[in-house]
Amino acid sequence: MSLTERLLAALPAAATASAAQARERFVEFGLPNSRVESWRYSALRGLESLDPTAADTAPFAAAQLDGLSGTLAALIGGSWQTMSALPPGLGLAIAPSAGLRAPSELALNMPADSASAFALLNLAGAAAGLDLIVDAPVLGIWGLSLQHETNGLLQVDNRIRVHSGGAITLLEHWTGADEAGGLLNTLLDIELETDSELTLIRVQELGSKAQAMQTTTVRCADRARFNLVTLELGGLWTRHDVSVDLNKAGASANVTGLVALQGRQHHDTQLALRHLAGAAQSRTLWKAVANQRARSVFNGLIRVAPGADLTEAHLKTANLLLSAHAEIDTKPELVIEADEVVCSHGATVGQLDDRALFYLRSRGIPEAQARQILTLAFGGEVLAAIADSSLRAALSARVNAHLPQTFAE
Amino acid sequence: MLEITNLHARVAGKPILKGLTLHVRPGEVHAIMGPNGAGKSTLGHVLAGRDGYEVTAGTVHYLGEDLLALPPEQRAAKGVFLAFQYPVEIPGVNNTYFLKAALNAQRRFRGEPELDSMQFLKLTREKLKVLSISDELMHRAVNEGFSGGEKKRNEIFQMAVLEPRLAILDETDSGLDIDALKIVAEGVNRLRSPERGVIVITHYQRLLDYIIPDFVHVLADGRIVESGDRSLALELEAHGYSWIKERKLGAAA
Repeated sequence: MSLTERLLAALPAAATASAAQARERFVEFGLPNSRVESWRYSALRGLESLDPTAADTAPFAAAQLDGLSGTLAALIGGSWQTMSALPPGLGLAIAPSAGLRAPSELALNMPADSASAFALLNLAGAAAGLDLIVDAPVLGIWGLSLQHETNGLLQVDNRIRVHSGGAITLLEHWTGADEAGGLLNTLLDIELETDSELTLIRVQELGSKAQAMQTTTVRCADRARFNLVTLELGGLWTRHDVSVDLNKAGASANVTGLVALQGRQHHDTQLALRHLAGAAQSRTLWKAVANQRARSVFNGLIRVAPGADLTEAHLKTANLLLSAHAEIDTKPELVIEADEVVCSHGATVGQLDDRALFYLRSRGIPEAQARQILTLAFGGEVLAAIADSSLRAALSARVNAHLPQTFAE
Repeated sequence: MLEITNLHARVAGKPILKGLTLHVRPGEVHAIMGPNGAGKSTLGHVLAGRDGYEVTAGTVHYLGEDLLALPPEQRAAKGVFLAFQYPVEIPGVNNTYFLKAALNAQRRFRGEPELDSMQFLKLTREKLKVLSISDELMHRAVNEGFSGGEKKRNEIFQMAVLEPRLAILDETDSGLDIDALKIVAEGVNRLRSPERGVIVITHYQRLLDYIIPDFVHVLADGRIVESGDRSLALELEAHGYSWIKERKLGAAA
């Protein structure tokens, strides 16, 4: 059987009409190949040997992160479990069973091509789903723990809706056993209503064999604010497609990301920011560090639709190549179809500063430590986006743990 | 403690040092003066171990050991300190964190116990005061956005905390006003002791009003062409570097 056939065979029977429709589309378009522009650098080779029905690994004990107000729910052994009591203003529901929920708006708007094959596959039948509803400003930083414990296929379909005037900071902590080599295919659909705010912190520390395809879609109404801080640290082959639609005036998106890879890790983020109404703002800072034979791919698209005048959009990507065999493919893209916009973009790829390295060594700091200090400093600008100092310290320690301990070729 | 013998060094294939010999004994302060391009900064960088400075002949012994065979961090741990002419800005690395990491790395190398945050704070507090460095500067990134004077004072502050056996000051006086110059000199004078050696590289004699050297050397075209006591610096100040050249020519004639 081909990979497509094996994936289809592993899906539950379609429970709703929209699941059936997603399945049909998946069959129609198939999986993407490297001729699809957004899939040029992310070959599916690693999935060729995937058995989607393979068993789970032994239960994994995830390390807790300091600085959280509490953990709301945990995805363990392929299903969601609620954890701490909910803070005021927040509602949470675990989707009763695969595909039984009403289709998200996402399902209806999915672009019709193979680039969104994994989102379609997810909509055709996810095994687990979580709904979060925010009605009011929620204090604190609330965690969701997600564990990749499969050697087969695990599909998760989560949704967050922040009602008018609501606000929350959520932290998704992705972890998993090193022996878990299966595919995690997730969807996160976010709806931000008028004057609402979501700060989403993603800490991806999947196990060393993990493969993950993650899709996040966000829609922002009037003056809604979406802040994303994402740390891509773990996994073997990971990809995150993020699309943010700024649908109404005054909406804003702040995206900051740090990718730190070594060994043969591969990470690809495809970010699309669509300014569909005027006077919306977006700001993106993306940083990647690649060591040894790792590869980091980033495409940052800003599209300013006709009529979206007075848009302000800035995108910057800075990259650090620590080895001659590492690879960084980074591309900012601006498509502007409106007038009176302020847009900027820039990309740099470089190595550690020799002068800074010598300065540290001349003070007695051994070379490997000096390289590590400078590499962490490079990522520090991203961590600075985390307002809470104890969480920032905890995440800084996590990033440090994933930075190369050796700087070998 | 430092014996430099017939040192030849190239930078990017170009010979800069052409047979430099200099001996520094413990407790001595040596001033090295010379015109631009004479090789003053090259000497500092070769002693500290900067890549790209190729030693083609000669030897450097420090405390009986071949200094040139050691990587920069080991030279530092064994007590060699270079105060940079152009201190490097390192965005994202906190000044306090950097200096504590440096001190503890040196202590680790020497088999001494590392200092915890409280011990380190105690050690630095008094030295900050002497050098008129504000606490605020310690919380900023290393040298980032520092004024010229703040950078130089930060170098001397690092020296005061690391307590090197051999300190090399590479034009630390350049760009300093008279108040900052006095503060820097005070920092150096506090370090003077019978076990320590200091090399002050400078273009002007002004600094030597405040750091009184035991010996003054004139470096020209990669060699030390004249050595003397403090009065040599004053004569240079009065007559300029061309005076040395003329005197040499006069002697030859």
